[in-house]
Amino acid sequence: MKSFWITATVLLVTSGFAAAQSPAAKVAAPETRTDSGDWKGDLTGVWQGPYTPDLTRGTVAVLTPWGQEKFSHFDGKMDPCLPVGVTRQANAPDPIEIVQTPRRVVILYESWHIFRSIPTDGIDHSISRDPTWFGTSVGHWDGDTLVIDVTKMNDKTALDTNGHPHSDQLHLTERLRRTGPATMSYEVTVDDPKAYTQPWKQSRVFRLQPGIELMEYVCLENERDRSHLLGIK
Amino acid sequence: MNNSSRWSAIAFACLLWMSTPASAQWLNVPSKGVPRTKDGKADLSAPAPRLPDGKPDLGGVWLVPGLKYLINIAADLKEVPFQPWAAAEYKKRMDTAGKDDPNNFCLPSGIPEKDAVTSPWKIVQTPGLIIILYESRTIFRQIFMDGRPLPKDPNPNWQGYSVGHWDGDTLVVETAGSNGKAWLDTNGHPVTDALKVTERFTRKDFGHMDLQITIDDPKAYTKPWTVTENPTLQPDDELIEYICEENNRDVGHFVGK
Repeated sequence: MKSFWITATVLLVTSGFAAAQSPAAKVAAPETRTDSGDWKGDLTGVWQGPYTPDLTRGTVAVLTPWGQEKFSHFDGKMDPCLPVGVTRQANAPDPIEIVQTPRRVVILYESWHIFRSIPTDGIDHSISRDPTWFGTSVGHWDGDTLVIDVTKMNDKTALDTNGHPHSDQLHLTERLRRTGPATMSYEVTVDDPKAYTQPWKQSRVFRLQPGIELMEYVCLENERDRSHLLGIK
Repeated sequence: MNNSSRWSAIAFACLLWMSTPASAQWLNVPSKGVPRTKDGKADLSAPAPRLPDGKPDLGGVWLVPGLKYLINIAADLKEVPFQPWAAAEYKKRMDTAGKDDPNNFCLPSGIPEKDAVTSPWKIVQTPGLIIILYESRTIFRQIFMDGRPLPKDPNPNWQGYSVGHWDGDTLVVETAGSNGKAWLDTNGHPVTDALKVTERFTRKDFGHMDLQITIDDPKAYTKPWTVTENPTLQPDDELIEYICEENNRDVGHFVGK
């Protein structure tokens, strides 16, 4: 299993470097921001966070017996091209891009080339939604902090590469706040009474990546890992 | 087009289409900022909205109705100016009932096939960047509006690299950098890495758009050719999640003939 994690890490890191080296990415650097404070409340831009294979690192996450049972069966054999869910998208080392409008914030992820569209218009978008891989995200602004509530996720993903489990009762609260010209704090609270005895949270810092553009990422193109990971032919 | 290949294309289009009514049935989130008639319905013939900077606001959920252009982007043309090899490739794809269409394997559709898919797409407009979120595959596309030119030597990929500018009230998007692997439609009009696509988006009123698409690929076609599609606004709707790879049982069943 360890070799799988190392392989997965190397794969992810490799694609991250590819983005940094893209010639197309050097075309246009955004205007240099001075420290006049005009960045406050503005999450717009391309960001990159530290690769976070263990979401519980530096925090206390106590599994329930149900959670322990599920964690003990995690063997890393997940289809590499199916969605990895909200927390693992943020854990990945590949860059993300945030696009902000008055009524909506969109997060574009280089990894898997997938997006999340988060309404901040006060309308209750959580009604009548079936469980999905990424669930339903509803945002609001708490001062200059974007708070995103995520519910109605299916239970087919893990919270991180190490396999920390969650159930279909998972409720995530993400708090994104620009803390400086080139920094954004990202905090995620995991509230899943079926898998953990109490809510816990993890935070880290994303850094602005001026001059970087997201590249295309197509997991299924020439995909050779699946048969090795899943033992299928 | 012979019957079997037509059926293949229609069957495939129906597969794509099946995901759409579901969204219309159970997502009914009232959109803010939509002009309404007295009975509360969206007034799709109201004037097109504008942003504070005076530019047209193209934001919203859009859909090209029907299957016509997904099956055959050149459906309205009398003749397509194929290069000889491209005509042969097109015939081969038709004769094999589209079995090698990258869509069959959940690989990305390219630009402009993405415009004609039967799942809606959403335009999100900001001053320096326009993004299009496609329900189909939950995939996004960036259109850079900051005045940069197309890169001289882009990394070839499925969707290419898109830059846009305004020509009056029309958004003009130029795309290059295709890897040449995507098909223009399920019939299989081919492209190469020389493909350059120009899309002209004109919001005529609140609910209707003209989308003029020019295909310029001198390796595949003897001259550029242009088609027009008509996206309509889908008010009070939202995109839903679409994971092509989840429980995909199609691979292996597209056998052609």
